Amino acid sequence: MKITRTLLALVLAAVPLLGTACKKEAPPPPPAEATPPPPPAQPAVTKIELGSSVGADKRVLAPRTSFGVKDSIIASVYTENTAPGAMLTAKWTFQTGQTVDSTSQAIAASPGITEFHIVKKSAWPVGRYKVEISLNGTPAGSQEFDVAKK
Amino acid sequence: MTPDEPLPDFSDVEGGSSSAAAVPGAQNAPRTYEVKKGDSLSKIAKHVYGEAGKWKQIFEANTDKLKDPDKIYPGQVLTIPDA
Repeated sequence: MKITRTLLALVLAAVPLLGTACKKEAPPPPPAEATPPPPPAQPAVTKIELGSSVGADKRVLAPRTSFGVKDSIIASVYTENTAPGAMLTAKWTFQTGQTVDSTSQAIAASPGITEFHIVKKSAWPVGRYKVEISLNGTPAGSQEFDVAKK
Repeated sequence: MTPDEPLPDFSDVEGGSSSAAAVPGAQNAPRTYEVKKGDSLSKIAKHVYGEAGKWKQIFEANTDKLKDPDKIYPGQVLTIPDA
Protein backbone atom coordinates (compact mmCIF):
# COMPACT_ATOMS: atom_id res chain seq x y z
CA MET A 1 0.00 0.00 0.00
CA LYS A 2 2.80 2.35 0.89
CA ILE A 3 4.53 1.51 -2.36
CA THR A 4 1.37 2.22 -4.29
CA ARG A 5 0.98 5.59 -2.60
CA THR A 6 4.58 6.49 -3.30
CA LEU A 7 4.13 5.42 -6.92
CA LEU A 8 0.98 7.46 -7.21
CA ALA A 9 2.72 10.47 -5.73
CA LEU A 10 5.54 10.12 -8.19
CA VAL A 11 3.15 9.80 -11.12
CA LEU A 12 1.17 12.83 -9.98
CA ALA A 13 4.36 14.77 -9.56
CA ALA A 14 5.49 13.81 -13.03
CA VAL A 15 2.25 14.79 -14.80
CA PRO A 16 2.91 18.54 -14.79
CA LEU A 17 6.43 17.88 -16.04
CA LEU A 18 5.06 15.74 -18.86
CA GLY A 19 2.58 18.46 -19.66
CA THR A 20 5.37 20.95 -19.91
CA ALA A 21 7.47 18.63 -22.03
CA CYS A 22 4.60 18.01 -24.43
CA LYS A 23 3.43 21.59 -24.53
CA LYS A 24 3.33 22.76 -28.08
CA GLU A 25 5.98 25.36 -28.68
CA ALA A 26 4.72 28.76 -29.60
CA PRO A 27 5.09 29.29 -33.33
CA PRO A 28 8.04 31.42 -34.25
CA PRO A 29 7.13 34.97 -35.05
CA PRO A 30 6.56 35.47 -38.72
CA PRO A 31 9.57 36.82 -40.46
CA ALA A 32 9.49 40.55 -40.72
CA GLU A 33 8.13 41.48 -44.07
CA ALA A 34 10.92 42.72 -46.24
CA THR A 35 10.32 46.27 -47.44
CA PRO A 36 9.71 45.98 -51.14
CA PRO A 37 12.30 47.83 -53.18
CA PRO A 38 11.03 51.13 -54.50
CA PRO A 39 9.74 50.85 -58.04
CA PRO A 40 12.33 51.91 -60.59
CA ALA A 41 12.06 55.61 -61.31
CA GLN A 42 10.33 56.24 -64.59
CA PRO A 43 12.17 58.02 -67.36
CA ALA A 44 10.70 61.47 -67.69
CA VAL A 45 10.92 64.84 -69.35
CA THR A 46 11.02 67.24 -66.42
CA LYS A 47 11.15 70.59 -68.19
CA ILE A 48 10.99 72.17 -71.63
CA GLU A 49 12.38 75.66 -72.13
CA LEU A 50 12.41 77.76 -75.29
CA GLY A 51 14.84 80.45 -76.29
CA SER A 52 17.05 81.75 -79.08
CA SER A 53 20.46 81.01 -77.67
CA VAL A 54 21.92 78.06 -75.82
CA GLY A 55 24.93 77.63 -73.55
CA ALA A 56 27.46 74.81 -73.54
CA ASP A 57 25.30 73.02 -70.99
CA LYS A 58 22.41 73.03 -73.54
CA ARG A 59 20.28 75.31 -71.40
CA VAL A 60 18.66 78.19 -73.25
CA LEU A 61 20.05 81.46 -72.00
CA ALA A 62 16.85 83.46 -71.60
CA PRO A 63 13.71 81.33 -71.64
CA ARG A 64 10.81 82.91 -73.53
CA THR A 65 7.80 81.94 -75.61
CA SER A 66 7.66 84.84 -78.04
CA PHE A 67 9.99 85.15 -81.00
CA GLY A 68 10.69 87.42 -83.93
CA VAL A 69 10.38 86.31 -87.54
CA LYS A 70 14.16 86.09 -87.95
CA ASP A 71 14.95 84.33 -84.67
CA SER A 72 16.43 80.90 -84.21
CA ILE A 73 14.17 78.85 -81.97
CA ILE A 74 15.67 76.42 -79.51
CA ALA A 75 14.03 73.98 -77.12
CA SER A 76 16.01 72.68 -74.14
CA VAL A 77 14.55 69.43 -72.90
CA TYR A 78 15.49 68.22 -69.40
CA THR A 79 15.30 64.47 -68.81
CA GLU A 80 15.81 62.14 -65.85
CA ASN A 81 16.04 58.37 -65.25
CA THR A 82 16.60 57.57 -68.90
CA ALA A 83 18.40 54.43 -70.00
CA PRO A 84 21.39 54.57 -72.33
CA GLY A 85 20.17 54.88 -75.88
CA ALA A 86 16.91 56.57 -74.94
CA MET A 87 15.60 58.71 -77.76
CA LEU A 88 13.94 62.07 -77.71
CA THR A 89 12.00 63.42 -80.65
CA ALA A 90 10.94 67.02 -81.15
CA LYS A 91 8.12 67.66 -83.61
CA TRP A 92 7.57 71.31 -84.44
CA THR A 93 4.19 72.28 -85.89
CA PHE A 94 2.52 75.47 -87.09
CA GLN A 95 -1.01 76.53 -86.16
CA THR A 96 -2.29 75.07 -89.43
CA GLY A 97 -1.13 71.63 -88.34
CA GLN A 98 1.75 71.64 -90.81
CA THR A 99 4.88 69.94 -89.59
CA VAL A 100 7.73 72.44 -89.56
CA ASP A 101 10.44 69.95 -88.57
CA SER A 102 10.92 66.69 -86.75
CA THR A 103 14.25 65.64 -85.27
CA SER A 104 15.30 62.73 -83.06
CA GLN A 105 18.30 62.71 -80.75
CA ALA A 106 19.81 60.08 -78.45
CA ILE A 107 20.03 61.38 -74.90
CA ALA A 108 23.67 61.77 -73.83
CA ALA A 109 23.29 60.91 -70.14
CA SER A 110 20.90 60.81 -67.24
CA PRO A 111 20.07 63.38 -66.05
CA GLY A 112 20.50 65.13 -69.35
CA ILE A 113 19.65 68.21 -71.32
CA THR A 114 18.97 67.93 -75.03
CA GLU A 115 18.56 70.92 -77.29
CA PHE A 116 16.54 70.96 -80.48
CA HIS A 117 16.73 73.96 -82.77
CA ILE A 118 15.07 75.20 -85.90
CA VAL A 119 16.20 78.00 -88.18
CA LYS A 120 14.53 79.32 -91.32
CA LYS A 121 16.33 81.07 -94.14
CA SER A 122 13.31 83.23 -94.89
CA ALA A 123 11.11 84.83 -92.24
CA TRP A 124 8.98 82.65 -90.00
CA PRO A 125 5.29 82.96 -90.76
CA VAL A 126 3.65 84.92 -87.97
CA GLY A 127 1.43 82.80 -85.76
CA ARG A 128 1.29 80.14 -83.11
CA TYR A 129 3.61 77.15 -83.06
CA LYS A 130 4.07 74.11 -80.88
CA VAL A 131 6.91 71.75 -80.13
CA GLU A 132 5.88 68.28 -78.98
CA ILE A 133 8.45 66.12 -77.25
CA SER A 134 8.28 62.36 -77.16
CA LEU A 135 10.53 60.05 -75.18
CA ASN A 136 11.09 56.64 -76.74
CA GLY A 137 8.02 57.24 -78.91
CA THR A 138 5.74 58.21 -76.02
CA PRO A 139 4.44 61.79 -75.77
CA ALA A 140 6.30 63.43 -72.89
CA GLY A 141 5.44 67.11 -73.06
CA SER A 142 4.87 70.09 -75.28
CA GLN A 143 5.34 73.83 -75.32
CA GLU A 144 3.58 76.45 -77.42
CA PHE A 145 5.11 79.70 -78.61
CA ASP A 146 4.35 82.67 -80.82
CA VAL A 147 6.18 84.27 -83.69
CA ALA A 148 5.36 87.93 -84.19
CA LYS A 149 6.76 90.83 -86.17
CA LYS A 150 8.98 92.90 -83.90
CA MET B 1 -4.47 83.52 -91.78
CA THR B 2 -7.70 83.16 -93.76
CA PRO B 3 -8.87 79.89 -95.36
CA ASP B 4 -8.06 81.27 -98.84
CA GLU B 5 -4.44 81.97 -98.04
CA PRO B 6 -1.91 79.42 -99.29
CA LEU B 7 -0.26 77.37 -96.60
CA PRO B 8 3.10 78.76 -95.51
CA ASP B 9 6.22 77.18 -96.89
CA PHE B 10 8.53 75.54 -94.37
CA SER B 11 10.79 73.83 -96.90
CA ASP B 12 13.72 76.07 -95.99
CA VAL B 13 13.63 75.15 -92.31
CA GLU B 14 16.70 73.44 -90.94
CA GLY B 15 16.53 71.51 -87.71
CA GLY B 16 19.20 70.06 -85.50
CA SER B 17 19.91 68.78 -82.02
CA SER B 18 22.56 67.87 -79.49
CA SER B 19 22.61 66.44 -76.00
CA ALA B 20 24.73 66.71 -72.88
CA ALA B 21 24.81 65.44 -69.33
CA ALA B 22 23.08 67.72 -66.87
CA VAL B 23 25.12 68.71 -63.88
CA PRO B 24 23.00 67.97 -60.78
CA GLY B 25 21.68 71.19 -59.35
CA ALA B 26 22.68 73.16 -62.41
CA GLN B 27 19.08 73.65 -63.45
CA ASN B 28 18.82 76.60 -61.13
CA ALA B 29 22.34 77.92 -61.59
CA PRO B 30 22.71 81.29 -63.31
CA ARG B 31 22.88 81.06 -67.08
CA THR B 32 26.08 82.34 -68.61
CA TYR B 33 27.40 83.50 -71.97
CA GLU B 34 31.03 83.60 -73.05
CA VAL B 35 31.88 86.76 -74.93
CA LYS B 36 33.15 86.23 -78.47
CA LYS B 37 35.18 88.50 -80.68
CA GLY B 38 32.97 91.22 -82.14
CA ASP B 39 30.32 90.96 -79.43
CA SER B 40 28.74 93.96 -77.76
CA LEU B 41 26.14 93.94 -75.01
CA SER B 42 23.44 95.00 -77.45
CA LYS B 43 24.47 92.28 -79.88
CA ILE B 44 24.36 89.69 -77.10
CA ALA B 45 20.98 91.03 -75.96
CA LYS B 46 19.65 90.74 -79.51
CA HIS B 47 20.97 87.20 -79.76
CA VAL B 48 19.70 86.07 -76.36
CA TYR B 49 16.49 88.06 -75.86
CA GLY B 50 15.69 88.98 -79.44
CA GLU B 51 15.86 92.65 -78.41
CA ALA B 52 19.06 94.68 -78.56
CA GLY B 53 17.55 97.24 -76.20
CA LYS B 54 17.76 94.78 -73.32
CA TRP B 55 21.56 95.16 -73.13
CA LYS B 56 21.13 97.09 -69.89
CA GLN B 57 19.71 94.01 -68.15
CA ILE B 58 22.92 92.15 -68.95
CA PHE B 59 25.08 95.07 -67.86
CA GLU B 60 23.25 95.40 -64.54
CA ALA B 61 23.62 91.69 -63.84
CA ASN B 62 27.37 91.92 -64.39
CA THR B 63 28.44 95.11 -62.65
CA ASP B 64 30.92 93.04 -60.65
CA LYS B 65 32.80 92.34 -63.91
CA LEU B 66 31.91 95.29 -66.10
CA LYS B 67 32.59 98.92 -65.30
CA ASP B 68 31.82 100.23 -68.77
CA PRO B 69 29.10 98.65 -70.94
CA ASP B 70 31.14 99.40 -74.05
CA LYS B 71 34.12 97.40 -72.83
CA ILE B 72 33.67 93.66 -72.91
CA TYR B 73 36.35 91.20 -73.91
CA PRO B 74 36.40 87.80 -75.62
CA GLY B 75 36.45 85.05 -73.02
CA GLN B 76 34.57 87.01 -70.38
CA VAL B 77 31.74 84.96 -68.96
CA LEU B 78 28.63 87.05 -68.40
CA THR B 79 25.61 86.16 -66.33
CA ILE B 80 22.45 86.28 -68.41
CA PRO B 81 19.40 87.20 -66.34
CA ASP B 82 16.01 85.83 -67.34
CA ALA B 83 14.14 88.01 -69.81
